[in-house]
Amino acid sequence: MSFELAGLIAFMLAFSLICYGVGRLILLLLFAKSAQTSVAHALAPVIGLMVMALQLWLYGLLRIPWSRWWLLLPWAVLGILEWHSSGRGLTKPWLSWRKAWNKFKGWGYFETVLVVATLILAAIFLVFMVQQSLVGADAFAVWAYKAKAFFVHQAVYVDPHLIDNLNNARFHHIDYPPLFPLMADVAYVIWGSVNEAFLKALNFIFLVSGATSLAVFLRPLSGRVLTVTAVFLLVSLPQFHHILFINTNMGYADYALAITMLLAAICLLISWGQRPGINWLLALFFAAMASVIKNEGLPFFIVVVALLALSWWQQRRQFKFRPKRVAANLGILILVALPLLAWTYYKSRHGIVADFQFNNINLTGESVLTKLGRITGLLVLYVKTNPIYHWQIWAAILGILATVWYRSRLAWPLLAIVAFQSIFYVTSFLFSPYELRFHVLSSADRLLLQLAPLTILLLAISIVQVRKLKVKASTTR
Amino acid sequence: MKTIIKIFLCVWAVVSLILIGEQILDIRWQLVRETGPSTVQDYSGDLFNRAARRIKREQLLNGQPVAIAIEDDGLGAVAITYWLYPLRLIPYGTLDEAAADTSTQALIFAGNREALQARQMVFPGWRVTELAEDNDRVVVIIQK
Repeated sequence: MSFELAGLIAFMLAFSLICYGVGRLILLLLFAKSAQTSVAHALAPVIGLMVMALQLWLYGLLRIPWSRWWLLLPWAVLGILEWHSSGRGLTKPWLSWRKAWNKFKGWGYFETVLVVATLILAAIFLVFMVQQSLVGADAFAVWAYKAKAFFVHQAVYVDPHLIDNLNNARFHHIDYPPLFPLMADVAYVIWGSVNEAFLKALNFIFLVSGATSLAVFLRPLSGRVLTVTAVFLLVSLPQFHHILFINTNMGYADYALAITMLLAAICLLISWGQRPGINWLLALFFAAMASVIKNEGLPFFIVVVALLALSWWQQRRQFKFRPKRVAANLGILILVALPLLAWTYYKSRHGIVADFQFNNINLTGESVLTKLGRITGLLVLYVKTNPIYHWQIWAAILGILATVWYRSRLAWPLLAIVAFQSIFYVTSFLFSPYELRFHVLSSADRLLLQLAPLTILLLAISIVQVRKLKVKASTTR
Repeated sequence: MKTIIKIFLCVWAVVSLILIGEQILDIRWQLVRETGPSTVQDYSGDLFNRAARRIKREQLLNGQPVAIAIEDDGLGAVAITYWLYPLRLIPYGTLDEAAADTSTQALIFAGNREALQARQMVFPGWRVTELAEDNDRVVVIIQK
């Protein structure tokens, strides 16, 4: 291993710790004791990364220079203040991890092999994400390009000559939201210059947060073997190989979107049927962030908001109706949706037109039903000819059957998300400006990738018994 | 149903383990040991990165827009646009297209050396500066 490679890996590990520290600090400042749950610890790295990306976005608007000092100094000051005021700081996680380590005693061969394999795979993936080249138009024209453009201009910025030319605009996908490149910029800013190695390696933080969140969420509900198996699948699925392991032409932001949706779903399920609290807010936050990672996150945000509102409505008799609380929740909703609103405003102000337009529905002259039939046929063809997706489809079918069979109160909101998202994917092709066969077959792998973590979660919780839900709130602490 | 799902998940995990194991046992460890980070060393990185660095270092373009013609690989145009960012580049499919545009002041050409020699007659009197080369390809800047 070269010295340069070792340096980049060391930086990525240090960067992950910085993100974790910032995420922990934010949770402690906002939620104090409520943030002392295993799930909150697991979510912290992604929260830290996303908030620092939003911080850069804000700095761009306020013309504050993008330097590592401007980026990290506020967090360092807040961290010292928090440490002095409460002493909670970073000591708690070590206690929790020691407890977690003790739980390894008495494990069987199957779980041990899977846990060891998961850890080895995570290490291998980190090396390869740093080492493997960026290739293809998706890197050089879309994600890395945007990250570099933002870094050079120290703001969210779309080159005017790309907006003026429709072909360029489509090739560079200038209507894609800015959060993923901004997250890469957080690494660039701390590193001090553009280093493309971090664009792909960013997914390591999502890998760690996704796996640990799934583990601590499932463990009290589903038992050890099922939890370990689900976490191993989340790390090792062939669907993710081209992001985490081998060179890829496309899909740089899809893994981040998939894990963000998983994190939102986990927080939604924890908060389901309970008074709006930390997990309710985090579900909202992650769903809002999904909407500014990729456009596919927008329907996800809508369905999560609808489900959170439904959960709150179902519980209305338990809690007194307080207009102030309703107003506060609405205020929070607007606050977390601010990045989406800001991006929508930026697009309309600069004349950035989305690829998908309602007018495109008549592009081929086919009726809506004929076109839908053709889209479904192409998706079925894609799945049929790619064996790795057979497993995912069977998992989804089993998850649906088990949810219905056991009338799982925990699984049905998740089923609603997966169903809504899938319907959106199919119908969105109706508005595509591209040739249908090319578009469906070239994007099906990424759409299935986005749904893979949710499918694993659905299957794992579909068999959870209702009585376990009652103790869920206490055991996830 | 529970047993079916548990068995399904376990078999799925084993299949995934085998598939990822196969990939890892492939030649890829060799890549890591021998080459180190290849982010800026692959075809779309190293060749164009070296060319881009030289253009910047020697200020060969003085910040003016430049046409690029990549004859053997369309993605090369995208790559060099990326590496030279924020310099604005106007991608052309071929040298002929670029030459037909009378406003063209400079061109970056990437392709094999024979193709370049054959094409150079398109630009009589233009100055050719070699920027970078690898085994079979060369990146040059052709200026009026």
